[in-house]
Amino acid sequence: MEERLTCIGVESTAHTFGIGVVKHPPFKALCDVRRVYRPSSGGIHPSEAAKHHLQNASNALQEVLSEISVEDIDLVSFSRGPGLGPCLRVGAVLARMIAIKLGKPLVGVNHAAAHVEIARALTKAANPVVLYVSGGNTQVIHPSEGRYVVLGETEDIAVGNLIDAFARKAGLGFPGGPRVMELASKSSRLIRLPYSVKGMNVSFSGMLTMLESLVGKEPVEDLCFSLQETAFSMLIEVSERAMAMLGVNEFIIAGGVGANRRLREMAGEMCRERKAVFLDYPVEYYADNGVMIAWEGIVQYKLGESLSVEESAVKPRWRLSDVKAPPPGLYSN
Amino acid sequence: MSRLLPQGCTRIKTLYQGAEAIVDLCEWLGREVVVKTRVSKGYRVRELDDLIRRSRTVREASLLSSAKKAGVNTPFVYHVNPVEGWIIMSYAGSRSLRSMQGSSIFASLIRMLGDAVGRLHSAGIVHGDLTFSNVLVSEGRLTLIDFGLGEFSNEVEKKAEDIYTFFSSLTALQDSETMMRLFLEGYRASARESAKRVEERLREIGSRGRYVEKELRRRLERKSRENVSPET
Repeated sequence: MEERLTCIGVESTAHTFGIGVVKHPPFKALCDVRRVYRPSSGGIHPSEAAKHHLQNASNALQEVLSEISVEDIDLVSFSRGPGLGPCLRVGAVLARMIAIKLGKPLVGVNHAAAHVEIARALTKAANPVVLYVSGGNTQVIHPSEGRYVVLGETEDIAVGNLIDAFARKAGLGFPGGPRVMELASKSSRLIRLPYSVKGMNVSFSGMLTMLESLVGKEPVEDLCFSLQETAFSMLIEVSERAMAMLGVNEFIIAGGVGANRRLREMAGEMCRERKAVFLDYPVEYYADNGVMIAWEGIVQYKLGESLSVEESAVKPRWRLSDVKAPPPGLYSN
Repeated sequence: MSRLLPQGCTRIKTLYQGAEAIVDLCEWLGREVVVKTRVSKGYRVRELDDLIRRSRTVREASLLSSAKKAGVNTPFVYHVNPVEGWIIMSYAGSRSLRSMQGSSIFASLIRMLGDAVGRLHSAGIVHGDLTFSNVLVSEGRLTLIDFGLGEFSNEVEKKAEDIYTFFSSLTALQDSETMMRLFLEGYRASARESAKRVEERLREIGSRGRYVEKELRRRLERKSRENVSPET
C-alpha cells in the first residue's frame, strides 16, 4: 500500500495568491482558495502584487483552515520559481512558517512543472506532448525519462503577454484573455498578421507591434479575432510538429491561456485529424492555483525532494529543464 | 486529411509523412518524381490555411531553385501549384549520407557538404534542417533535400545554427572531430571571408545553455526520423 499524503501548497508566482490542499492516492483536491491581484492600471507591478499577496495571505490561510484540519497535513509546498521575486517570497515565507509550525517537510516546486503535472494528473495522460501557455511562458514540453524536454518555445514574449499587452493598448483591461476571447467571437474577418514559426519555436513580438499599430484603425473585434487565429495556429502547429516528431498521440494544454475556448477547440481539431487525443480538464485548473502546487509537492516529495528552511530561497529564473519529472505510474489511481 | 495528388501522378509509395507535409514517390509523365504536398489543416481558418500553405510552397520551390543557381545540387522543380500546396520535383534516390558512414568516401563527402553549405550561405540561403537524412548521395554527388524549414537570410546566427544542427548529428560518430574539421575546411573554401564570423558564432552557440536542450531535441528528432523514413 502506497503511503497516503496530504499536502498544502502555496502559489504566488505572479497575480494569483492561492492555497490548495491535495490528498493522494487517490488524487483528491480538498481545498482551493484563490486571491487574484487586479492592477488598477497597466500590467502587474511586482511589488504591488507582492503587497496584495501579503495582505491576503492570512485570510486565505484562515479560509483553508476552516475547510480542513491542520492535523491532516503531512507536507508543505510552495512555488519556488520561476516567477516574480517579490511575489514568490511572500508564498515562501508563508510555507516556511506552516512547515516550522507543524514540523512537516517543506518542498519547493517549479511552477511550470506544477502546471504540467496537474494537467497530467487530471487527464491521466500517459505520454503527452504538453503546450504550456501563460502570461510569462510559452513552451512545448515532453516529459520523458525523468526530465522535461523543452522541444520548442517562444523566442521573445509569451503568448499571454502578447494578449495582455495588446489588450492594454486597446483599453480592454487586465488580464486581457477573457475580453479578447469574447470580442473575437464577434468577428470572422482575418487581418494578416506576422506568422512566425521556426522549427518548433515561435515568436510573437512582430505580431504585437503590428497589432498595436492597428489599434484605433481597425475594429477591435477583428483585431482580437486575428490575434487569436494567428497566434493559436502557430502554437497548434508547433505542438503538432512535436507530436509527429516523437510519435506521441496524446496532447494536453497547461497554463492560463488554456482557458481560452478557441485554443482548446483548435487543439481538439488538430488531434482529431491526426487520430490523436486532446485531453481536456476543468477549466479552473488551467489558471494558476494552489492545488497544482500542493500536487507537485507530493510528486516531488515522492521523488525524494525536500528542503530545509535555510536552503529554501526562491528561484525566480528556475528552468523547467532542471526539474525531475515523475514516471507516468503516479497517475494510475 | 484528404489529399489529392496532382493530375497525372500515380503514387508508388509514401516516403515521408510529417505534421505539415506528405512526401510521395510517384510516376508522372513516365518518370519517377517526388511530390511534396502541404496538407490543409482543419484547425486553422481557411483563409490563414491557404495563405500559409501557399507561401511556404512558393518559398520552398524558390529555395530549391536558388540553391541550384548557387551551385548546390537540389532536386529539379518540375511543377508547383501554390493553391493546392504541392511541388513536383525530381527524385534524387534514397541513399542518404547516413548510409555512407564507414565508406571510404565518407570523409570526402563531408568535405563536399561543407563546401555546398558554404555556397548556400554565400547565396543568402539557410537550409534550416541540416541532418544526415536531408543529404542524399548518388554517384559521388550530394543532393540537398527538404528546404521546408529554410529561408532566405544573411544572419550570421542562422547560418551558424545551420552548421550546429549538422554538427550535433555528427557527435554520435567516433571520428566526429575530424569530420567537423573537414566540414569546416569545405565551408571555408566556398564561404570565404564570411566563414570566420559564422565559425565564431558557432563556438558561441555551443557554449549557450539552452542549446544543450536543443541537441537533445535533435537527437530525438533523428531517432523519430529513423522510425518513419523508409530509407536505409
